[in-house]
Amino acid sequence: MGGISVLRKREIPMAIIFIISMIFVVQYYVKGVEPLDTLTNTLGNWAIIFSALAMGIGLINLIIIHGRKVMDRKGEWYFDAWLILIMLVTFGLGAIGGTEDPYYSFIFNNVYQALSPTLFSFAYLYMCTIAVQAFRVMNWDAGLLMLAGVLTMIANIPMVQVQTGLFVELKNWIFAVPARGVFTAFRISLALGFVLIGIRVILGVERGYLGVEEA
Amino acid sequence: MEMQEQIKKLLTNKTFVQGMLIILLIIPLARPLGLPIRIDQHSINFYNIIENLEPGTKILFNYIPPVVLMGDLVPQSIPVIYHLFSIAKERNIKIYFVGLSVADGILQLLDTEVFGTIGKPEDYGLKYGEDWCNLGFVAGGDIAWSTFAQNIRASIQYDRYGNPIDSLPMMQGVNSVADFDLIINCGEYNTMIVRHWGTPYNKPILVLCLTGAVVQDVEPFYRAGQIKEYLAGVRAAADYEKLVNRPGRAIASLDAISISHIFLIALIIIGNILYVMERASGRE
Amino acid sequence: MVSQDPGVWVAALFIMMGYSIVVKDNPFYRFAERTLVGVTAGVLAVQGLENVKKLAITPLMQGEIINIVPILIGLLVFFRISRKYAYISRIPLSMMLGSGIAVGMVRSIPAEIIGQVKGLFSPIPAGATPIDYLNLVLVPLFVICTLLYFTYTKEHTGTLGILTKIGRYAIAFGLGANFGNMVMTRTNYVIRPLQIILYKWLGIKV
Repeated sequence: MGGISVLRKREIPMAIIFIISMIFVVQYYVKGVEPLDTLTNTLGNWAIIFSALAMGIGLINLIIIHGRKVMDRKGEWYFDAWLILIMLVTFGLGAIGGTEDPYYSFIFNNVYQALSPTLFSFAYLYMCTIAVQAFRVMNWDAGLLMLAGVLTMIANIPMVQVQTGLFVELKNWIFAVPARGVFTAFRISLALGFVLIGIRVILGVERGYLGVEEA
Repeated sequence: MEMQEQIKKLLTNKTFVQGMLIILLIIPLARPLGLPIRIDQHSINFYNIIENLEPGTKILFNYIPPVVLMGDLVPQSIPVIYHLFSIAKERNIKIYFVGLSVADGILQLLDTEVFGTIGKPEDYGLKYGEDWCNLGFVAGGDIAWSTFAQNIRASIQYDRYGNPIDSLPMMQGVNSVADFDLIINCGEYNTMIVRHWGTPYNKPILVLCLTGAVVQDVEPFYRAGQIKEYLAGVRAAADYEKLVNRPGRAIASLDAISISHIFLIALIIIGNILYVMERASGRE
Repeated sequence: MVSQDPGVWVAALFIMMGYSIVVKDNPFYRFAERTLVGVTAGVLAVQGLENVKKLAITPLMQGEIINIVPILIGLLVFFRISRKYAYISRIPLSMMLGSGIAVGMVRSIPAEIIGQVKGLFSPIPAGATPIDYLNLVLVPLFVICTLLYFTYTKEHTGTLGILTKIGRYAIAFGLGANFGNMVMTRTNYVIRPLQIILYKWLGIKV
């Protein structure tokens, strides 16, 4: 029990992050040290295995959440039961037969490939539904946003591209100059932010990833 | 005023707008007008880069279109891979397919959508393990990209079909990203490609990306010279189908793309006209 | 000619169930939605398992006993689900986080900071027109103005106010262009299922 309670301490994951990060950072700057290269390759290999295993957490979480609804017979519990069933069937077929299993492939090709873009297509359908009310030019900023957006959309229309290259030239200029300037600035800021957050996590200043403080 | 309200009510009615759009898309998809297309300069440059590949080039093709985005990505990859396969045998070009972070493409779509459309590599005289191979899927984010870049065998020991990668003749002498001559990425994660494969090893990168990712993700790298050339979306796929003289799904969808854009632009313009009229009547 | 393939029929039926919500929310749509959630979770888990098999289980079966270590540590990730024992999952998660953050951090500096800044000062191309010279000045200007727009240590007045205003309008322009392109991607979400219905199911030839 004493051993288990030690694991509760937040210092352990913070120390793990610090040590492993330092190994990778030193390996990046000090080239040609074979034991260090081997160590980072091994740790990288392990991290890939952990990432792959973590892909199964979604499955278990869904079983718990929807399983509760089925047990309690809450709402449309039969749909939740179907969700769990199809999930387990898909996983079972793929786990036993691999991704080349004909029944797994059937589900992947005819259910997943059909439903995924269909349900995501509502992003565009709802955009059209609210277009009349949402895309109003109420001030200069909105005006510039709509101008650039509409110019780009017009430039993307194949029928228009054939008739005139003017919109394509305008679009290319927008991409090459103002949009490039803005998104280069965003990219630099994001990278700087990433580095700063990374330093904070490595040094243990940022602890949000640890979750709620244990008693 | 009443007519204004009625128009607004109609154009914000979900069933009407969405139903109209679906019907407007079905018509050009079922009966494409077959209008000419104007090939974009990016597509021409991309085509020329592939067409002028040196003999013996080793290409690392990261094939990671997720199923949800396959409508924008797979149509580009079909003519590009067809082009590669067409020239690979005579020029001894080696193609190494791999899938980092996203598995849909490398585990399923490559076989069903790409090879199912253009035929298997064997139909082009290419032999598995000697001219092309599928290294499979590698899970993970930054660490997967970095580990693969520095030591391929640390992240992959068996290919997509369960063969040890050391048993593949074309893997002899290929240990890291440094041993490839060209990198092609079909999917998202363009930042990762530049961060872990492009800049550290100074490799030319070609990208097949979403149209929506061009401005924010690809153009900054392209203009800075970190990405050599790109194809963006179905529009570029149609260009490439024309360039390789293999019309397909992309060219057939151009009219539908035109209609959907015109529809949305019309809604935006009508919405703004109604807004101006509302403001004017409000002032009166 | 309508397809005889049962798979295509299943796909077409699910697509029509998905689009049935255009008319009204109904049990068919909810069935299709739950099916997608379930299948997606199953597919992701299978893909993860494929990777684990190739990277750890197969080498383990072939005598590389050391591979038991990452499998055992990796399985601790599943304690994340338990409220009482979630802290145990911190071990593999902190190993993933430590390695990912370090490699991402050190590599983003040359690629995204230095590389992007260097790219702003590209050599003047041969045959450059006055517009090209203007663009070479405008791009760094927009970068600086955008960065200044997001600094909050000084009030945006005077010269700073003018520069941040330029930044604001440039951001509006850039986001508008991004939106315009995003519309194309979203359009293809709609076109793809309709192509399955028309070309694969109904057999319409174009």
